Amino acid sequence: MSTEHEMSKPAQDAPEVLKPGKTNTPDVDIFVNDDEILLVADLPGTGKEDLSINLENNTLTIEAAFSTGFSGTCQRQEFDAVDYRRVFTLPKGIDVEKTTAEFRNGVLSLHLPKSSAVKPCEIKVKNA
Amino acid sequence: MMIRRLNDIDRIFGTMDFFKNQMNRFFDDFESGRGSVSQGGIWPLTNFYDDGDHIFVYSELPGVNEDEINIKLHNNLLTIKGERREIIPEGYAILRQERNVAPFSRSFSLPVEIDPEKTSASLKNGILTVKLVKAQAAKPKKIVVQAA
Repeated sequence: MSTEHEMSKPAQDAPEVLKPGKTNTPDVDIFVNDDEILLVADLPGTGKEDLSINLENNTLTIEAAFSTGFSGTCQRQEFDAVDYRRVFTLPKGIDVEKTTAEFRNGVLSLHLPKSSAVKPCEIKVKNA
Repeated sequence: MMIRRLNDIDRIFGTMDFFKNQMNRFFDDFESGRGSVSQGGIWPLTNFYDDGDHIFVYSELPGVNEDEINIKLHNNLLTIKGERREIIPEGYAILRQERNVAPFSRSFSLPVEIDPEKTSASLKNGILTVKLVKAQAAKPKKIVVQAA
């Protein structure tokens, strides 16, 4: 479902959000029910204002700038203070207009509602 | 006969594509440096910084609340412990799960004496910061060279 490394687009297409260079792939959970697809991504070190979520032609791009600063000199490093980027290809039938996102404690929850055309519905049989 | 052969060739290429995709995914995970983490490796990832008078401990704890973290300092052993509770929303089927779910605990033995009274911790944007103040004896001292 995901393509981490996409061809980089020309600069005029995409606003500059991330610093050029290495990016991290955030860990992601994807859940689904009858009404929506719920995507949950771990983006520690970023704030709400550092996020950029882009939906275009069934391609969902999540980018986030790492904005937490560290003081002092590094003694031991297990994670890099680099920006996040991940690209997903969405299935057809997502209601783009009604997509909502929440961000709390470094976790992004993205609600992608299914359009009514792909929602399951029960067909009642009437008595003749 | 010919048709059957073509089908076979198609199948072989299909299988090759499958393996190619699998390998690509493996390398993507590897390159991002997170592959082992999402499979239940070391968590939370932690950085240590030193500015002379303090040691700063930064841990990646996205989605964890303040009351779910337990920090202990005993005999220069710092332990960060807790559990991430929110995880699977009700009524949803799981399509993909990479985020860590297990309770976590990590201990670090600190290289210098710490003043336990002055230790503080904060949580912002999924990063836990523990500020440890070095004991007086462990702080760097400036030695002035005197003219003989």
